[in-house]
Amino acid sequence: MRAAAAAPLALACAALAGCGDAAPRVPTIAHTPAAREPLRCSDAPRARARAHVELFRHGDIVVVPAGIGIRGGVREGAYVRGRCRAALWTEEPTGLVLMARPATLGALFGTWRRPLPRARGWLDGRPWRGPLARLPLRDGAQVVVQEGLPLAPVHSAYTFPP
Amino acid sequence: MRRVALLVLAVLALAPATAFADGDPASDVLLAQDVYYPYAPKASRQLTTALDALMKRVRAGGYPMKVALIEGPSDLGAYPNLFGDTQNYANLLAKEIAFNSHPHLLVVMPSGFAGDNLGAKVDRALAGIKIDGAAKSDGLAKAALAAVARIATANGHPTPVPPEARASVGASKASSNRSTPSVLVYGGPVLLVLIAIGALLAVNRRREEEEQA
Repeated sequence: MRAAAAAPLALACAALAGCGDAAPRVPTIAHTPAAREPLRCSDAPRARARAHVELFRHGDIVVVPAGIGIRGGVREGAYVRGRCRAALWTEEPTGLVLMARPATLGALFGTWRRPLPRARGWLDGRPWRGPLARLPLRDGAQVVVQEGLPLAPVHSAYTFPP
Repeated sequence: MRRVALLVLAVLALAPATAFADGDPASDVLLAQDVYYPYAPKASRQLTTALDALMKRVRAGGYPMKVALIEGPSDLGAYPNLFGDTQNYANLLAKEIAFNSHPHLLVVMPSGFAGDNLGAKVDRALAGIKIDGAAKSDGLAKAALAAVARIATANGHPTPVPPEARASVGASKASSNRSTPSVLVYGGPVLLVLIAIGALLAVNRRREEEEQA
């Protein structure tokens, strides 16, 4: 009986610990390595497509860093500028991915040189059923990738900058 | 009972963690720098230089602040509906950037000021600061120059208003609120836990009654 009575209290404590912002968690930006050189780059390709990608690990934000796919970029605060870019690149740490042509999530992680996580994906708010690497980053795509629980809110749309 | 407990835990784990949303550019940019500038139009170099210098000054003076200048819905990414809803956006942003700290946050939109953790005298500090909506991003930057200096001063860190902000200080009405936590954000999870505890206690009681019978 005592164990049974204690169970609800333990459950309440565990549940409360996972809610709200009473216990601050460190963003995984601290574990995000600096962007490396892309495999190949050309001189300032034009961005013909843009996608927004949000990454989460166990409910925590994982920042998509500025400078992915930019060789010899110059950092200006949170931004990285550079003319020698791969077919896909990031200039800001907001999840905004610029592309010379529509690409895939696999291409983003490949350029970033990070392994794709074992995670679930959402495209424009709908669960992605196929292989994560093939999740399309087409122009205007809003992508959410989440590894583990709890799940963060899934945004279905993103207002891109002009 | 174990089944009920597992079910409750599963529901809680799958519930969206609203405090850790990541849909607006400012929340990412402010992790690396003190000011988020609007996408378009770009604020003038003179004003961004002045505001960056002012932010360094107040940080060195012991009152570090974060400032988000929001000129249009595209500065809000996944939350374009919060354009003009300054205080609700400030509440959201404050949670997003408060990982191990409670930053002094100021949000400036054409419709007004809002913020979090700016001290009890913030309304008086912001009174009379005009946001020139017609000047777009430059209007926001000028207003922020005046606001940051006055807020730092009001919190015991005397800071002169930079000359670049002079045009923004007028007699117009400015509003500011400190953040107030949403009842839904904080009350929802607590209510859910109370319901779960009630259900578990009811199951326990019924089992004991059955055992006694």
